[in-house]
Amino acid sequence: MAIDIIMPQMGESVVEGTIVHWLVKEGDRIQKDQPIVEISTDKIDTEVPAPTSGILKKIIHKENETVPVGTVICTLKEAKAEEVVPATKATAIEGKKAEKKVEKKVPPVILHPAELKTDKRVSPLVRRMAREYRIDLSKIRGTGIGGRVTKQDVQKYIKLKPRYAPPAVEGEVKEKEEIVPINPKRKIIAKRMSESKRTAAHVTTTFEVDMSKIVKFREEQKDAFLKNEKARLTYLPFVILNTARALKRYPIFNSSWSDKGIIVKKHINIGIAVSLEDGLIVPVIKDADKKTLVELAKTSQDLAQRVRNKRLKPDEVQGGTFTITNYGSSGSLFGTPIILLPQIAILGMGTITKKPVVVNDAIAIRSMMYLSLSFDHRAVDGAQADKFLIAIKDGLEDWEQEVYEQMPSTETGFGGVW
Amino acid sequence: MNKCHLLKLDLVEYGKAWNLQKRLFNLRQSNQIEDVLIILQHPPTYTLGRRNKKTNHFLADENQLRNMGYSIYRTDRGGAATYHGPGQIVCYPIIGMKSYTEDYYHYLRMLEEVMIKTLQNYKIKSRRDERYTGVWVEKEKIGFIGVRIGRGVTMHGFSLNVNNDLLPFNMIVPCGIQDVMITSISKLLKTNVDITETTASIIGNFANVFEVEIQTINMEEILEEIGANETPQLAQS
Repeated sequence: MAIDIIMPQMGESVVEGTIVHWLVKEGDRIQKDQPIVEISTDKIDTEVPAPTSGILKKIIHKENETVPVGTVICTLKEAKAEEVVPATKATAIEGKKAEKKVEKKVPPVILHPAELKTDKRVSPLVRRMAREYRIDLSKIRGTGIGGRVTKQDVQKYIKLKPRYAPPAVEGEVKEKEEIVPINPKRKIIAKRMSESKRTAAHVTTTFEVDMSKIVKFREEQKDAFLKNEKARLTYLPFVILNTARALKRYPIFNSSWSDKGIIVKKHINIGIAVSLEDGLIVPVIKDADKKTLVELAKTSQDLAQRVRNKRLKPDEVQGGTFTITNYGSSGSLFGTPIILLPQIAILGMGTITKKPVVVNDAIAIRSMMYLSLSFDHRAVDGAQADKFLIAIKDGLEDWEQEVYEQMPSTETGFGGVW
Repeated sequence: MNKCHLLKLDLVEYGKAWNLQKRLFNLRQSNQIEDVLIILQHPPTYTLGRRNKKTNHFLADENQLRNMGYSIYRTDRGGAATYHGPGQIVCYPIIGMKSYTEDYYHYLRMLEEVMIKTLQNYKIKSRRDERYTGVWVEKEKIGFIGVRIGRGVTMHGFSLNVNNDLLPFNMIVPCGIQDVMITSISKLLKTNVDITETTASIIGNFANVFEVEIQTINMEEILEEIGANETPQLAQS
């Protein structure tokens, strides 16, 4: 299969790039992630890595040519199974059949006595992985610089290790058991959830948030809110508001994973998981970052209501770029939600409980809430996730300071109060 | 908070500093070291980016310049021609860019921000130009940027004129911009500024803008950490 390689978008404002130097020739065999061409813009020099292993078929633009972003600069012929190095091949093929074939024809792990040097230098990460998975690194063929074993090599090796298949579930139904038919909604949920768990590298990080200021604020305002806005003021819109802001600050979390790269979305469309008796639906609040607290409260409630009345329009469940799930409403303290693919993260909010906490070395009673962020470790790392979550936490904890910016002006009837 | 090692050197010959950069760049790419900020000065040197090889950015004869004691390097950074000399602070962040920003150009804006904040410490109001990367005080250019990014790691960086001789800029078309005027902190304040103060200010502002914790190291420590034995020879004066 031929793959087009394009001049990458290096920044929002970049429109073109110059090809400085081809690092490979037509017909060269290329490994995934290997730099294939050096490119340059007015101030930045960088290189384009190969998206996959293969053979460079055609160079379309020569050195010193300046082309617009998105222009195809060369094509890559994706290597057929027989053409690639065994270690790389294995991951390209999925399924039992392929695995078998790999095992028979080209064993994924090749012991090269000559290459079995135990003093080969590896990164601390690789060493740790080897320890955790109890792998003898000398058994892995390295594809890194100088035959060094890389993280990817170890991952491939782990993937290829024979696994025990789960015991087959018998279709037989014993006495006193009953079969609950799986409705289409359930089937979709089952498919999506297991697919997400299988492909995304789920990690959940949790922070404790002091919601006391918001609890107090809500207690004071909820009656007036109901009267004036005809909507209940819950904790959810506060979390949506601060999440939208944090997404603006850390746009990488407002993105989706694709084979071509991480697609950072322009619009912040936050999906809200709404539970139903027989499933779960995630309606989307479009452009959540442009809405005020009042608008978010009304929109989220309206959507939830229409989900339950089955009055949702199809486009109201599409285009989500990030998801929030509020399992706190059913009393859960904290959870480890599953990411809604192709998004790369999901925020879960736990229930708010009064707890003794240490404030300035004294024990105080505060309204605390656990916020959990499940993120796809393929796309982002823990430190980024924590920064993002801290931004939400800070926003919620410092609520008082920004009340004035967030509340509508006097025309809507809230003047003087906020 | 991310940690960033600080490698503060004095006057280092460009080629040697470049080798050091490349070495740290490769080590950073393979994750063998953490982020490093190199801060130093160069003896009089002209450097050229690789873009637009054919365009002549020199207004004087290259050989003549060499005879006058200027080094000339064609480097692997973005950008066009620039000049480095004693009295100008040069910063090379060798960092994993993605922990700070995803957008290559936002990275440039962050470098500009470091310089703008540093100038603010001297009560100098500087600005960006929509068309040209770099930092400007009114119509004069004071801060210069050219970077290389490979496998998400940055090298090269920015330079800020503190109290350096500005005449050598007249021999080139700086950054490929015709008829640009160049200035320095000393020139603007009409007094000789202590470069060690400016250096400290840049480091502090770098820590602020990138939200990193700076840890000073020396060469031996970093090389020990990576398990390398040969120490690059750095010309110091």
